[in-house]
Amino acid sequence: MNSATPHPPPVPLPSRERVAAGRGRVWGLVAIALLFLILFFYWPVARLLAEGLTHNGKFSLDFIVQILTDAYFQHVIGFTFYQALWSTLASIALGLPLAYILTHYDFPGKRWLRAFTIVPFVLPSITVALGFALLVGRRGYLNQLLMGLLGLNEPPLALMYSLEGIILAHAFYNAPIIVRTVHAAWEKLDPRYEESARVLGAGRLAVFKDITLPMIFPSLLSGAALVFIFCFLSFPIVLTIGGGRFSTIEVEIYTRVITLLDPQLLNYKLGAALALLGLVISLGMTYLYLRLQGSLTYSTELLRPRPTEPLFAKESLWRPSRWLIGGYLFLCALIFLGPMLAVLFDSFWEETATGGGWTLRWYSYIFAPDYDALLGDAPLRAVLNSLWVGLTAALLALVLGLIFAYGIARARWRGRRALDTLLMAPLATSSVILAFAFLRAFSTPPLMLVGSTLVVVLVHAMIVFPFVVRVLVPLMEGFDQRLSEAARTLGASAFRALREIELPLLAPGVLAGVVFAFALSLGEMSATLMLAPPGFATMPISVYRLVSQQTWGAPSAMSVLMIFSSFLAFWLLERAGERTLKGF
Amino acid sequence: MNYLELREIVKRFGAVLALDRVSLEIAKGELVALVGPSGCGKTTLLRLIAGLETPDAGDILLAGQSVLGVPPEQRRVGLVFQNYALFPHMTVWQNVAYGLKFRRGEGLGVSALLELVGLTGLEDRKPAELSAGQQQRVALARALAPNPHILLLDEPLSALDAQLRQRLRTEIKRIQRTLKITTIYVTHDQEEALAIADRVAVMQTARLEHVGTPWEVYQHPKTEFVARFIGRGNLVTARVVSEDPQRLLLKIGNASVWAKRTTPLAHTTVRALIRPERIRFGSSTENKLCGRIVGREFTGDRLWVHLQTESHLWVVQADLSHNPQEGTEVEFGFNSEDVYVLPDSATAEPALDQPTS
Repeated sequence: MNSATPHPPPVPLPSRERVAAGRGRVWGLVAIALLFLILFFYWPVARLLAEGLTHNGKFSLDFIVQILTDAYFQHVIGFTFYQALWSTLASIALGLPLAYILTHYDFPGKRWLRAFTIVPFVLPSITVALGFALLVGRRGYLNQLLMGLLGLNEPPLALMYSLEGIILAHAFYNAPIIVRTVHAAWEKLDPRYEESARVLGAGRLAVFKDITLPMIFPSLLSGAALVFIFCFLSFPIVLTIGGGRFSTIEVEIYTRVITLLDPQLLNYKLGAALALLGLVISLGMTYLYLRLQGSLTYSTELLRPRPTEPLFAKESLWRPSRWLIGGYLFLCALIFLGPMLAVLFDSFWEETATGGGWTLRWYSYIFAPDYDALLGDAPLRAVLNSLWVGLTAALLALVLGLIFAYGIARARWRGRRALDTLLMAPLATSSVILAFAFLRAFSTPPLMLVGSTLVVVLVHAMIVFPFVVRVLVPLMEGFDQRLSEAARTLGASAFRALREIELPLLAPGVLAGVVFAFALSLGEMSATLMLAPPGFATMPISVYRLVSQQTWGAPSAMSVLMIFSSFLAFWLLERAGERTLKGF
Repeated sequence: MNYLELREIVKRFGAVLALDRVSLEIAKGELVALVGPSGCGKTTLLRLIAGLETPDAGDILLAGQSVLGVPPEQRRVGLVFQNYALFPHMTVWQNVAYGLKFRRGEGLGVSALLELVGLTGLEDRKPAELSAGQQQRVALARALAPNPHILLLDEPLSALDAQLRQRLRTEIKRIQRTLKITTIYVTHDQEEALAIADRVAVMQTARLEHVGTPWEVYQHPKTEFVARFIGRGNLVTARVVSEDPQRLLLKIGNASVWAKRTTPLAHTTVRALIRPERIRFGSSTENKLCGRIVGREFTGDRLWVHLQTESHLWVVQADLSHNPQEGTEVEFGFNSEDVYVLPDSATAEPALDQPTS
């Protein structure tokens, strides 16, 4: 060895301080996001709940007691449960067979049908309500068709303004959730469990009862819990399809808040107490849902995929079971596509005295810049409002979501539990309650936000960001940490490894998160209705106002625009890959 | 007399031929190891016997009767899956007792079985609370509980570490002997197959290549694939120079080697197998070669030495009392009866003259 070669200079070791600083920057961001969460969620909501628990400045259970003992409120709470329960059962009845078919058979269009199950997450519920009104309303297409076919003088279907109508619309909206959760678990259920049972002497029925059902049951329960939460908190559908006849907790709060005539603010007090009760129930359900989701341990990475057989093959074409399945799939297509097709048709159709004809009138209406008293804004401005509110809210939600998702995915056990718990409440709080809390908290200085459009953006961001977190967490957890570690060993700080390695690799998921947030914001109606300043409307609000005036055509055109955006979002989500929506 | 008989079984999955006219006969109480590389069709064959798949052609007979139309729950076959497939929502006891629900009075007692596999006291545990070895025992007990006619084991030890694997294979054999149950044991580990089986069936890409006792399969492999797959060996191409009634004179590279004459030869070019433990250092053997030591592998109980001659690389299992060093030139050799000339060499794929491992 040549002794003249100088020794290389010693590598400067990263000091403890530098390592800590790298981590500190990441956790500093988490702290800022937490402050934001407290300011725009926990503080207003806590203030609202406190209002329901105080009387003349002192702690009091008067309002809670009043609600729990009042026959009317009892009816409202009871009905909220009742409709949610039946809606959940209807969703299971509609969704479970589809989950079975998707797991066991191959057929043309299966990939699309499976992908389509994500649509309810992004489809604005007011467009679903409109589709149902157009299809099964008194003068709806289905009624007209049946009257023509059967020669009736009266419409045979009376689903509008009925409990059955609400349940059917909820089932349409939520059955795909059941399909999604159950199919995902079923598909990953190792077929060898069932084969073991067969070899041990169990017949097909015993295998289903002893093995398959117990093993997919947790996912069914988890899906059902989610559906129940959605139906329990459902607002636009109950308001539009139920009409004035049915009041759920959400609708009741809304009605009380917009009726500002009460000098004692008694409506506020009762509304706040009702919100407290509603929140307790939905928090409980959400907790149950998240617990169930965490306990689905029966799914395994399969050595080989579950065998499927073609639904339509030459040998089996004449089996009655195949025709039954085919018929069921057709019915599903009808139920799921019907309302959307009705909206599409109505947007291009104009009723006249002599019958009707094709028209582009409604589309030229929604792009009109003139003020419309029905909407409380110009139609074109409503469209543009939706777009810019959606974009800003999505970006805000993305920043928040990224930080929280990172915190959850990377934190150690206790930090993770804490963050998880903190994020549960925003997921479980309905838009109506959050908007109510905003109204009470931000109507006075120092934060006089109510009356500005900023408050709409803020409330959208707060509603949407928990969903972004749930999209991002599984992606971040699935990320191979060794890549970051490799970057660290090559000299990158924790922050740089995050910025230069992890985030670029997660880019498709991040894009999916933004798109998802945008689509949800685009369809948001409840909170916007309560917080929008006078003279400000978005697309869902316009549709709602037009539909409540029994005006058709124009709301359909606007809904087509929203549905189109939703499908665009759905298409982007599909492209970003299956993993993207693992959190649901 | 044959208890289980597979006749000309053919199975296709789409365009893939998984089993190509496979025939196998198994006597009552016999343990047959089905060995071959992954994807060769071993598991498919088990699934056909269990009734979980249907053959496209051929027949499966149990005690002389075809069982083709019999659904899996009535075949009375015990099947232990790779990774066990224990029901995660049931306890050990419930898992083992599950098959007894459908065979009241005919099965074996759960507690006796748990004792047989050495799991007494763990009845109330869930599968997730057991070690891999314990899970394996539960799987075995569960498969045996309904008192099956045939026991099928699909790579039962592949998920375990080497030490546990050796211990459990001894135990499986003990249990199989105790119950005298006809057993097919699928594995990709040739050493495991030789150690456990009464007979070994070697499979390659959908076909059975050789069925025989461990001794036959190791010493007199029917095909080149079997020679390569089972054990280590020196497989070389040789030219037949001359022959007499007892012996052949072969040319391996430049070296002349005497080999024992076995089957009639159709060609002058043959493939010959010399097992590494038959090769000795020194000049005491009939055939003598010279080579340089180019590598050593010491595995504790054995010493493998790689020798380079002018034409071939040889692997030799050296006597542990020797301690040959790398780089030295040595004399080595083997006797004529230790050279096994493979039958029907013409059908063998032209392979590199390298030691197999």
